[in-house]
Amino acid sequence: MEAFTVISKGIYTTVQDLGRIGYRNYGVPVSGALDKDAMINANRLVGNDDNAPCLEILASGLCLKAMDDFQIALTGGEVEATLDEIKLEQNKALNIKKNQVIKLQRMISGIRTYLAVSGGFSSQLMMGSRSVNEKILMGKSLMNGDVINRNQAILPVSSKPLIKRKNNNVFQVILGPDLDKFTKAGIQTFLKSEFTVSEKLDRMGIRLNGDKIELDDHADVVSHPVVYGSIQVPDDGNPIILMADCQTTGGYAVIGTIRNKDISQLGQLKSGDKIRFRK
Amino acid sequence: MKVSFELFKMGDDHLFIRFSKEIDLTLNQFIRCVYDLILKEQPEGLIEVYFAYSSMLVHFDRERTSFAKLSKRVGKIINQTVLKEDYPFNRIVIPVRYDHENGRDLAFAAEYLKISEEQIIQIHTSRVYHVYMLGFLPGFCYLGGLDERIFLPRLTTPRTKIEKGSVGIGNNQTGIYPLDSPGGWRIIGKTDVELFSPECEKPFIILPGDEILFERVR
Repeated sequence: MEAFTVISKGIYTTVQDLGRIGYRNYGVPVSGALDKDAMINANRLVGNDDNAPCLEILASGLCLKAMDDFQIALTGGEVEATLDEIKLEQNKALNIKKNQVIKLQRMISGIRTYLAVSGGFSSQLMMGSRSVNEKILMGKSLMNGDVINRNQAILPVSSKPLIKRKNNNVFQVILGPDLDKFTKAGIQTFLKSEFTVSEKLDRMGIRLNGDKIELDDHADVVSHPVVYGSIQVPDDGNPIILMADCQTTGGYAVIGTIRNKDISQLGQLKSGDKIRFRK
Repeated sequence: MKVSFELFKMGDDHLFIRFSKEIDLTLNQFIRCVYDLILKEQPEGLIEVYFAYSSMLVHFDRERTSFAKLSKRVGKIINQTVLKEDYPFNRIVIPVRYDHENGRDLAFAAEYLKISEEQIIQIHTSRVYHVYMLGFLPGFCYLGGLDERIFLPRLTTPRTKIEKGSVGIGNNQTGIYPLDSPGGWRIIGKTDVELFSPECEKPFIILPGDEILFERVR
């Protein structure tokens, strides 16, 4: 059943669920929502399963017209949004009526919002997931004029409490597995310094600037598995945080991986933000 | 086969197993056998397992197991693993058209290597290549065993588009592009074999640990 017509696609809007699991042995990235906390909360608010596909909306500009009556919830970064010109309240289930128009205008904090609809969006299931990753031919981002569909809402599957999180831009990591590639001073730099999010960031990775992390020799390792939240350090000493669309393996030394409770904050980082890592 | 290995936690719900820091054919075959046995044994809490040259990652569900429990279980499985010479890998034949139309760097290769195009094709098709791992792109195989007589330097500036199915050489590696992508390898031919069919029930035909052969077709 039809959910929305896309009046304006915004900067970059994709359908994401919790990711494509089961094909990493064939080199298929996991993908999925970057701010999983926000995406899960959006689903819980409208009574969906946690894995129900949502829209991941980068920054502002998206404009959607409802094709039916259903429930929505908008979570994630704080945004100036309207429903028919009236302020749209975030982090709350809202009833939307046919022909009403949602507009996302200006980000106040963070960089991504998540929109859930009751029943979940129903784009094509590809290899067990609806997460879009255009680089590997898994689905497409929204285009103006697209009509996006949703599933019939079933009875609410859970009344799980919402995930609580504060964005403090501090990321707890589990160190390793390539700690032997770094000097003691290098590891201290990693844990004690403040890093700045550079302009090179996307759904595959975030490059950081700051004090250089000292390597013992060179950064190359025999390519090994990496995951969303792994932090690689190439020869220049500037760390790269791997994001959900990252390749399944990497050939740079991995100094550590961000813990689950902090990982969703990555989805809200934007160029210029200051961040820290801690053990 | 007696192997040593180290276990690490990669984030909260991945178990990283390092068998070695080097690349070794026998070890990689052994890891494939470990992989097969883990899938067969299905340890409690297993979500996904995959491997690279000399390491493996096990994704687990923290609600059903713990890092400590799973480490113990997987350690046992590794110690039980036997590397049989005839472990059940597949040998896949890749038909390749080696000509100027499909291999735009074939002429360069002959000039650079100072051997004939025919010799390059003969050398490239005479080896069995072990698939160490897949990565970079879905279905992209990291192959070992390229004959050093046909090593070719990568392009200093990668091309923006290499067509799907292109067979190339980059330094000491050879491989097939599973989908259109930018790339810096020298292209010597092309295959119609689909290494990645996202719409199919079985999207992939090659698993790490398999072997492939290139066969000349016209």
